[in-house]
Amino acid sequence: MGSQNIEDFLTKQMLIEGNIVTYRSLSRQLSLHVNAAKNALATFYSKTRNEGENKLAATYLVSGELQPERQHSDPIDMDVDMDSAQENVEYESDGAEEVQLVEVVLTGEKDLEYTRSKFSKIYSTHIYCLSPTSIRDMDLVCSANDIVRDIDNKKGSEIAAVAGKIVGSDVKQGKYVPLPAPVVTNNAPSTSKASSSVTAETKAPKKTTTITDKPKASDFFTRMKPKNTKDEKNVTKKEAKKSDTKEDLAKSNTKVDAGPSKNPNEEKPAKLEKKRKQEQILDLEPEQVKPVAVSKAKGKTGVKRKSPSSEDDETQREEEEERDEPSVRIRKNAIISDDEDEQPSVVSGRTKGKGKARDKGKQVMKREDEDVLALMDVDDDEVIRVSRSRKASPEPSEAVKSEPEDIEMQDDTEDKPTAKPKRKTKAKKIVPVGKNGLKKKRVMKSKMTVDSKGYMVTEDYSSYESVDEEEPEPETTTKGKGGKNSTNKEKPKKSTSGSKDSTKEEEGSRETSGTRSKSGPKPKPKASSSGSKGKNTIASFFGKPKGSQ
Amino acid sequence: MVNIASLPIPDTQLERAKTTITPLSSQNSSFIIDSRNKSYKFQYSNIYFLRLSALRGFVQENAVRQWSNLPGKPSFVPRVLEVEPSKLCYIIGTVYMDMPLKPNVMEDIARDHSIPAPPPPPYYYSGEDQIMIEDESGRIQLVGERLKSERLVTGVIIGALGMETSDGKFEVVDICYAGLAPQPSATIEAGSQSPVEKDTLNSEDLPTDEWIGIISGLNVGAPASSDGQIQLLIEYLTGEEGSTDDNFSASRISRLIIAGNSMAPMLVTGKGELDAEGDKKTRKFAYDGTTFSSHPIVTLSSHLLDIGRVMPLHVLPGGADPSGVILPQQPFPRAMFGAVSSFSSFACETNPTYLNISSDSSSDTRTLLLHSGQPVNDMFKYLPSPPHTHLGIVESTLKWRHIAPTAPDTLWCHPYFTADPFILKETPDIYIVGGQKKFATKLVEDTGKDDGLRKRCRLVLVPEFSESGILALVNLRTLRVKAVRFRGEGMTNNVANGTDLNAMESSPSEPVPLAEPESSMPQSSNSSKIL
Repeated sequence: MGSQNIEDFLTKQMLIEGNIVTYRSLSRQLSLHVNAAKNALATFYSKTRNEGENKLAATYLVSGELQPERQHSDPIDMDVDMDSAQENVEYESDGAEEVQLVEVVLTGEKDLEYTRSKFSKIYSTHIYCLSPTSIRDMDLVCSANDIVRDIDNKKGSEIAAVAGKIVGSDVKQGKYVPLPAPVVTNNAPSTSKASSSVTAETKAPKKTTTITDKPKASDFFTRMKPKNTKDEKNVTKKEAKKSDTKEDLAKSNTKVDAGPSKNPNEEKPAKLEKKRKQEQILDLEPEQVKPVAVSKAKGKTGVKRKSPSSEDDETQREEEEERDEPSVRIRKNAIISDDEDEQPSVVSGRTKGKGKARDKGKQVMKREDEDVLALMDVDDDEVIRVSRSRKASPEPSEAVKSEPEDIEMQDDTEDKPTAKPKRKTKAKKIVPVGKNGLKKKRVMKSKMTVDSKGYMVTEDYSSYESVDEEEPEPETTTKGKGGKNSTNKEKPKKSTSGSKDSTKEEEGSRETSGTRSKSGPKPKPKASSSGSKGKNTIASFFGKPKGSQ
Repeated sequence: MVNIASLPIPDTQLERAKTTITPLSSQNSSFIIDSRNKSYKFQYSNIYFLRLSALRGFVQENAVRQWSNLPGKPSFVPRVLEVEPSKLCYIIGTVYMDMPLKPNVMEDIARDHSIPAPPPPPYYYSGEDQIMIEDESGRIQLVGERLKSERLVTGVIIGALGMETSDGKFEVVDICYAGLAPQPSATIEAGSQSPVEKDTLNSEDLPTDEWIGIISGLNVGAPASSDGQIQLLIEYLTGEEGSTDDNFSASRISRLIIAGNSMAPMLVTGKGELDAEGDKKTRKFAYDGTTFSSHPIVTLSSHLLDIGRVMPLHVLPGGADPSGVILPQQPFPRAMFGAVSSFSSFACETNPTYLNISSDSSSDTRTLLLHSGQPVNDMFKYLPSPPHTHLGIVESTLKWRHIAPTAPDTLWCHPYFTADPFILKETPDIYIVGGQKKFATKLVEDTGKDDGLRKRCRLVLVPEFSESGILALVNLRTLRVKAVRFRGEGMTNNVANGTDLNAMESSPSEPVPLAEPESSMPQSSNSSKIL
């Protein structure tokens, strides 16, 4: 770039167009090193001055160290409200150190000498910019910024090198990766993490880890409660102890797969079967979600998915076994941790269970939120699931529903042990549970929803109904729709087996309906049935366990 | 016309110093509120309880060390209500300042809401303040001359030596704190000072040393613009400004930390208020150009991009920023800053936050504790000034082992249930506080007489850039501090030369809380923002 070019450029910019030209804009526009640009500005300025033209004003930049004694009267020391040195005396001696103060000052030509006189050591003085008139407002020097930024954006690192920017070698474009930070509080590993790292083989170990984490949390509670309430509330202490014992039990149960099975055996077959079906559906879902989130590499799951459709009981059962753990985990994510679920079953005290349920509620809330966040990042499918989990969350806190919770929990534990009873028999047994033919229909549909939550059977039922028949309870309607949609989507994809089962159940239900209920044949009575169903759902829900037991 | 020597054009590019962020030690917790802790239903009392139980032991150790050999053999009374009259003893508990001027939730409730609330007081200190100490059993009032020289705010865990007076108060003779937390990086036996460490702190800055730059309070979008100074700052950091001397020192700045208040608080024009009755609802989520301008964030983003192109950048939210108000403030969403968010070296941090920075030229790793100043500014309201200074308060927080004791009393903070993350488990090497009125720095040293462990911590109080134009630089190896000030001489719009000082002061440097701290439900204010 010849000096003539520069001169022409500057003449045009300033004398004709009346722009402010800073050394940066010059360097960018003509691809000069900034120091060359500074020199060019100085040359041009002195030239115009020598030619007797006073059309230009120069703004200088002075940098250097300040004289030490000046620091005392520096504004930085006076910013505090008190102004006089006298008041400074009153301040405690906080031991503030004097530090080297470097100043970078922008100044017009008339103040240049004054400015320079205040420095003890001047690093540099150069022309910052030239302008048609002297700059009184400091912000005006930014007016050339648009040009600079434009060119910086276009040419990027290339111009940075030319202009003399000092670019750090560690400055790179790319995704910000936060460092793993130790987390203070008790935490179960977030679902997303868990799922991401999961492979089919590692499922079992994972489960154990989650379990161990939870004990921490509960340990914490146990620790906290006794302290907090020290003298006052024995109740809380009891709770804490209880939770301790529960934890232990839970650990043993969850760690050993056989553990949970013992208890469940006692439960009644009909329930078990029903649950089992639900679980199957549950199991299917995890499959779907995990492969997506984690790695689609899991060939096995895909194969297995198909197998259930084959209706072969054995294969299904195997699947279940394999997926037991994942399903549990997901349930946990969605609603409640599995070990917690199992605890009540072990203890078998209803009253205790309620207290527990509240504790659970807290944790549930937490986990739920976290899950929601985690899942939102990942997948559409998962998002759907989140919505369901939302549904479930509010319920546990309600005292009334604590009971159902317990029951369901027991059911869950029992699911595993169930040796492969025949599908059809199960279906039939389920049918009797429903009092009306309508109910049975619900059951079929409800299975899908139930899976995701696992615990809140009642709502699941209602939600299904609501979708089908428009007549759900207020809560469930809104949530239920979302849930239903999701389930509908999932149905065709995955659980062919589930659908088949449902068909079987339908048959069963029809039989029963024919015998018991007045309501007309299958589909028509929906409207009427819906009304009855809405009421029935709750009643039936409570009623079932009794009947089963 | 001044004769100016023409500047040499360097043949080779200067290389910027490089430092690496390393993972935090297990002691220094992240301030990220993850989803499992994002519950606002817990009572704040948990925090006090946790704090007391976490720090009581350390206070007691110090108390025993200091007082057990006193004549009269003061005994430790584990519960403050069990002190026996006129018997020398010491108690440990949490300080509670009963201050008439302090925001009071009961007054908020009783207030007539048809009248706008009075603005929050600039300070809480008054002559009628009472100092209490409390633990699980109850509280007892502290009296005595000794207290006046002490720096006490709500929430500090102290040990108090004294005796109960006839009127049921506790006459304090002496006070002790938990003392500086251990410092792994400088855990050296007292006496046998490691020559290396001693040398590094006393040695001169070397040209190979890495520095970090800290600014606070850019206040982009404030009525009194500081764009000119910010422009000078950017050019200094990129190494374009000044001579090769300047460029070289700029090249040693390995990363820049912005400690809060990057944006000025949004001015409410009043139009929005009028609309609030009717029309507002219909366009609740619409961009309302009359009451809101995205200009500040656009400007800030382009500033950040200029800097982020040349060096790693850490941005903390501050009290004036569009972020949640309760501590710990969560990181800004990266996308907020546009192009600069595409740099992996651009990091949005929590406020407060810990950073572990290891230098590439030497093996030093320094632990930095940064926050944007709200805790200090809040504590400052409790204390008469003079004599108290911000620097003294910051130093005290180290001795208290707690960086924000006034949370949750007057400083809004998250209702932690399982831990009090503001407790200092380790003394950081560098402790940076943004959002201050004045630049100050100090090397706090504990020779380790008490526990045999030597500790030192570099305190840096970083003033608002928009008012002071100051960039603070800390040498990671020697912990020495420099300040660089950017200003204009004889120009408007810069405060450093005093012309616009009044205008600046009248501009809001702190956000005016919408409600008194205790009356506002953190749930409502935070749940949306933190997400």
